[in-house]
Amino acid sequence: MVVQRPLVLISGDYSELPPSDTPADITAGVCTAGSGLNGGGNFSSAISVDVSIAPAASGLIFVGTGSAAKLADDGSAQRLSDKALASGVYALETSSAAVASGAASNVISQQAILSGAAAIQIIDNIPQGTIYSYEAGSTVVSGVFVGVNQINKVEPIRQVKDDINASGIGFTTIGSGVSNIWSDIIYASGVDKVVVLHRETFGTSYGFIQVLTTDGDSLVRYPANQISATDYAGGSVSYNYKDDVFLATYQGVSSYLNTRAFTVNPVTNQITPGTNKIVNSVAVSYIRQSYNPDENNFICTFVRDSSIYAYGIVVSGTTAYNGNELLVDVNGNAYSDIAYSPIDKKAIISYRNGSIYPTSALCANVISASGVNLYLESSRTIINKEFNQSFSVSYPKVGYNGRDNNFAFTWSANNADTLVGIAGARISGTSIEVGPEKFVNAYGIYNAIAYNPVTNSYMVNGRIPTASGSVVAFQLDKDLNATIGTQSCYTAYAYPSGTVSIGAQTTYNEIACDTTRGNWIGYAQFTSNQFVNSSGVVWLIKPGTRNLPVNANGYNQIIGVAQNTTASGSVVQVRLPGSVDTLNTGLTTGSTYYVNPTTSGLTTISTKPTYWSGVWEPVGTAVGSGALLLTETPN
Amino acid sequence: MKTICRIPGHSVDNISLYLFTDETPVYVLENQTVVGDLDAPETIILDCDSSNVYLYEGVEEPEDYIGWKYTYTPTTGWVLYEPPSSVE
Repeated sequence: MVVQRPLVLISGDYSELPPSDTPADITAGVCTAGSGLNGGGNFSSAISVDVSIAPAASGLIFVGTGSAAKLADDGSAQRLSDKALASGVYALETSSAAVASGAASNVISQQAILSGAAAIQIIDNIPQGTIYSYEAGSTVVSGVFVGVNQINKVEPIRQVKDDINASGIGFTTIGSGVSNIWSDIIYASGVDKVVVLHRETFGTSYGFIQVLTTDGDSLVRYPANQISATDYAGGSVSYNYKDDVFLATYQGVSSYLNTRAFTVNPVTNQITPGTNKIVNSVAVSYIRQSYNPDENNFICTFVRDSSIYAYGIVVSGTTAYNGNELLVDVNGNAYSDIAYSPIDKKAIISYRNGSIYPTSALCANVISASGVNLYLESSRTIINKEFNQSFSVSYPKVGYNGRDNNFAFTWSANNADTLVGIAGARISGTSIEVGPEKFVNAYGIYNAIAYNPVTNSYMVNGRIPTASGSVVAFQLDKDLNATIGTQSCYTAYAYPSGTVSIGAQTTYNEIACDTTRGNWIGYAQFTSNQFVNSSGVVWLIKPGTRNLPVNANGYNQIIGVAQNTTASGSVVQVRLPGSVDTLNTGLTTGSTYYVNPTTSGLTTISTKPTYWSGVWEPVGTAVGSGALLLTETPN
Repeated sequence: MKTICRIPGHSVDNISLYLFTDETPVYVLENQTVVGDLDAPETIILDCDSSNVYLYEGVEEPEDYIGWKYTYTPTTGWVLYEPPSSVE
């Protein structure tokens, strides 16, 4: 290594500073190692500066050793950058999908906004807070609150009686308890009385008439009157609503056909009987009877010598006059019943015929009347020929629906006598059109049927095989298909105090309808092993209630106040919430009001109807005695 | 006792339809039969009149009487009636 020494003047000549000498007054520089370096020192001596490198450092590395060592790159930074680049590229790709998704979201949200805007526009187009026009689904009276039914028509908010389900049963005993059998029961609308014909036994049998009144929730009975001579053996009672006169027709002495007219004082409930008449001095059985309003007389039907007959009886005052007899069907017949249609001006007589099949068949004929003369319109119609030809039919009853002008047959439908058959029917010309047969689980031998015009449904009163007496309602559609409701059993009744279970011991079940209030009224006699000692029992059977209207979603909902009175199918204008209605008066300013489900009007008391499926809230606040601010809250 | 019977040739000859006590007023009229006082009848029999029934008085009461069980004439007295078999 060449060592360069500083030039100095020695004796006037330039020369290298001799080794070991140092220039006087000369200071050599100092080398300071900075950050990442080490070494350095005074230049007066040999110094070096080294680079400080951490062990196994990433990035720069020394390659070689000593003077051959060279600084190099270990490549890790490259890898890291490559990895970072890949990650970035991946992130870009991912973000592209996200951007695409976001763009789609934007499209959807824009569509939603447009849809919402359109909906708002539609809503805005409806004159909310004002009046809107609808089609009425039933009669609507101005000022009532209305809702929309299942076919988008407007009907008053109201409770109605259930078509095919019953509730509310209360019992009243009648009779002495000495086997009050062979009965019939009717409701007389003109005098608002319930009239029962039944047997009493005092040494011999008598027919008695029992008058009861009802307020819709209970029954009150009055002293009974003997109506028959001795040896009463069953009969039927009917009511002439034009003249407010009754006619009881029954089996009397030697089972002859007896009849007796009577009146009931509407105030005192006293019976005024006419003279007993023996129509026919030949034994008869299975007497049933119907009033014929077209001829203002009565038609009774009965069995004599295994043939079915009908007989016209006219009543003037309380005097019955005999008419003429009609042979309806011959041979092998038993049981009979009759129902008259004022629309067809014909009656159907139902009966059992035992000569057609190995056992028997339920048959019916159509008859007409002119005065007390009766005419056979149809040949024998076999009602159940497609169903139970091998079963013994008994107690074929027939009822009549004056609203839809149809009939319903009920009968004991099997040999075990544990089913009641039901079939709808109508008169078509001079023949009988019959609907499909259905069954209910009940004894048929004592079944009875009545029609309720308030609910537009029939009810059967019988008893079920294993437990107790029962009632079940059903409704016929236009095709005569029967929709059958829930069967209700007579579970208990109080006599004379406490609760007595009623078992499967009812007989001679009968049923009528209180057409004023829409209740059915049942009758049954209880056999002697019952605590009631064979008394007849009368009880009310109330239809259940349901709320109208129900919309397509199955909910009840209030939409506003009807502004005009209109019939079903016509336009009704409805004031919608958010404005002031002035059709209801007598309001208290500041009070909130609810719909009255009975009147469809207003009440300050919240009386949410049972089974109301919608929200039941105030519908408005009175801002004047005749001004109701309709609440915006949906109901 | 009193009994009302069909006349021969009407329904079943001499068939007894009714039996009354001696004290019961019975009037067979042209158009009907009245049981009880004429002014206040107990029962009016519409299908029995002087053209189709006889009223016999002073008869003995037969055993287990019921209408259509016996025939009666003053000559034969009470005779159990056997109706013909019913036609099915």
